[in-house]
Amino acid sequence: MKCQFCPNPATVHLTEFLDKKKGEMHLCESCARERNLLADNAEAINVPALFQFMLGQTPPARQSAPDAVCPECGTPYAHFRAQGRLGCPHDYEAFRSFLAPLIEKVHNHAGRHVGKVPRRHRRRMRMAHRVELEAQLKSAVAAEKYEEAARLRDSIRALGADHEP
Amino acid sequence: MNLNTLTSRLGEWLRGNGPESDVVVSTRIRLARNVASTPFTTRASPHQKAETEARIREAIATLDLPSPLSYVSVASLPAIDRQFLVERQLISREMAGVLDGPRGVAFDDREAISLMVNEEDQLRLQSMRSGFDLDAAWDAIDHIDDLVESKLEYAFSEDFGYLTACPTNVGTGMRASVMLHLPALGLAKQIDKAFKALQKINLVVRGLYGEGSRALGDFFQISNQITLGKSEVASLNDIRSVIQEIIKYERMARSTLMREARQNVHDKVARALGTLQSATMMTSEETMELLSAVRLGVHLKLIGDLAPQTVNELFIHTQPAHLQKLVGEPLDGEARNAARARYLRTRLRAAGAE
Repeated sequence: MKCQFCPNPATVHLTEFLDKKKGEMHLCESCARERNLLADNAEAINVPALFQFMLGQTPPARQSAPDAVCPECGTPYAHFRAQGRLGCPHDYEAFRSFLAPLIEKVHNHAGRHVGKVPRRHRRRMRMAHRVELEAQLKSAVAAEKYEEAARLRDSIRALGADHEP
Repeated sequence: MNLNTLTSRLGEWLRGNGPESDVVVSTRIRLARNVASTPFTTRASPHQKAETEARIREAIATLDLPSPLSYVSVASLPAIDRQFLVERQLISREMAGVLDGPRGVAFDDREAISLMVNEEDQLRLQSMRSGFDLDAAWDAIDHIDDLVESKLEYAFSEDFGYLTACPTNVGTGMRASVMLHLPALGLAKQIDKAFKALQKINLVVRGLYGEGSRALGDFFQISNQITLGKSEVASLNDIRSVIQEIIKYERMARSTLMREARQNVHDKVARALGTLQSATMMTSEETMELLSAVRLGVHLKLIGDLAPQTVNELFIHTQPAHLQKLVGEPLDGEARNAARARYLRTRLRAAGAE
C-alpha cells in the first residue's frame, strides 16, 4: 500500500473511530513524522496530535512541539503527548497554550468550567472580591465620589451578609 | 476485612429494584478528584503515592456518614480478590490490573458508595443505585464530595474546574453511567437505531464492564462524555431525557414482541432456561446471553417463580472470581466452565423455575 501523501510505501497505519465513523490513514514514516503523528524518540503515536489531525486540524507546528517542562513536577510536555496523562495539577497552567485548544476540542468547544466549585475556593473568591471592593471604596471616598462609595458599601454589606459556609 | 463475606450478598447495583428496573439495571455516578499541589498518581513516586494514600485514608476515615466505610488496600490483595472487586464494580479494571503501588478502596456495607484511592486520579468517588435514579446517586456523591473537600484541598482552577490526570475528565470530573438491559431492541435489531441519536449529543455507549468491554447479553452502559462547560445538573438532565426515550423504545419493542411473536419469544426464553438448567459446560459469555433471555422472560412474566434478584445473583456469582470463591478453589478453563454449569443447574433447580 502506498502512502496517502507521497509515492513511498505506507508503514504507519492508523484507524480511529470518531463519532462512530471509522477513519483510516496510511502513511510512510517520514510523512507521519512531518505531520507530527509520531512521538519524537519512541515509536509511540502522538495521541493528541493524531486527535487534532483526525479532526481536520493542522497539528501543532514542530517548533511548538514544546520542550516545556512543568516547573512544579518536572514532567515534560512530551510525556503527556506520549501517555495522554498529565503530571500534576500545575501542568494545566504550565502547558496552558498547548492544552487549551485540545481541551476545547475534546469537550465540544467548551470554553470554561461550569458547575460545582469547592467551598474553599468559593470562600477565597469571595474574600478576594471583598478586598477589591474595599480598595475601590477607599479611593471613591478619597475622590469624594459619594454616590459610588454608597453603592460599593452596599455591595460589601451584601457580601458580608452572605453566610454561605 | 474478609472479602469472602461479600459473596453471600448483593451489592446495591444488583438489588434488582429501583425506578424502571425492568429496563434499567443500575445508575452510577463518579467524580474524579485530586489533592492540590501533589503529583497525579501515574507520575508520583511510590513514596508520594503512599503519602497521598495515607492522607486520603485519614480524611475518609473521619467522614460523618450514616454507615461506616471499610478500607481495603488493593495493592496487597491477591489477583483473584482484585478481580472479585472489579466484578462487584467496587474498583475499576485499571485499578485491579494496570496501576501499581499503594492504592485502595473504601466502601460501605450496602456497596452503594465506593471511594477509590490512587486510581488514575487520586480520588474517584462513586455512588451506585439500583434502577434509574440519577438524583439519588448525585445527591449521595455530591454530599460525600463536600465532606471530603472540608478535609482536603482539591486541585481546582476557575477556568478548567476540577483538575484531573487526563484532560478528558477535567471540569466537573463527573461521569454518570446508566446500565440498560435492551433485549427486545436487540431481538428487533433496533439497537443501532436507538443509539444513533446518542452520538449527536455526546453520550457514549459501552459494554457491561466499562471501557473496551463488549456488550454482552444486550447490556449497555450509557454515559456522558463531556465534562467541561456543562454543569453536573445539565449533564444529568441530558442523560435523563435520552434514557427515558430509550426506555420507551425498549418497552414498545417488548409489547410488539408479545403481540406479534409471543410464541417465538416464549420459546427463546424457555430454551435459555432449559440450557442453563441442564448444560454441563458453560462459558461466562454464554451464561450472560442466556441469563439475558431469562431476565427478559421474568419481566414479560413468561417465567414464574423466578425473582429478578435471583437472576442478578446468578449473573454475578457466575463471574470468574465469584465462582471460584463460591467453589472454594482456583479453577481454570474447562474446570471453571463445568463448575459454572453445575452451579447454575443447582440454583435454578432449587428455585424451581419453569
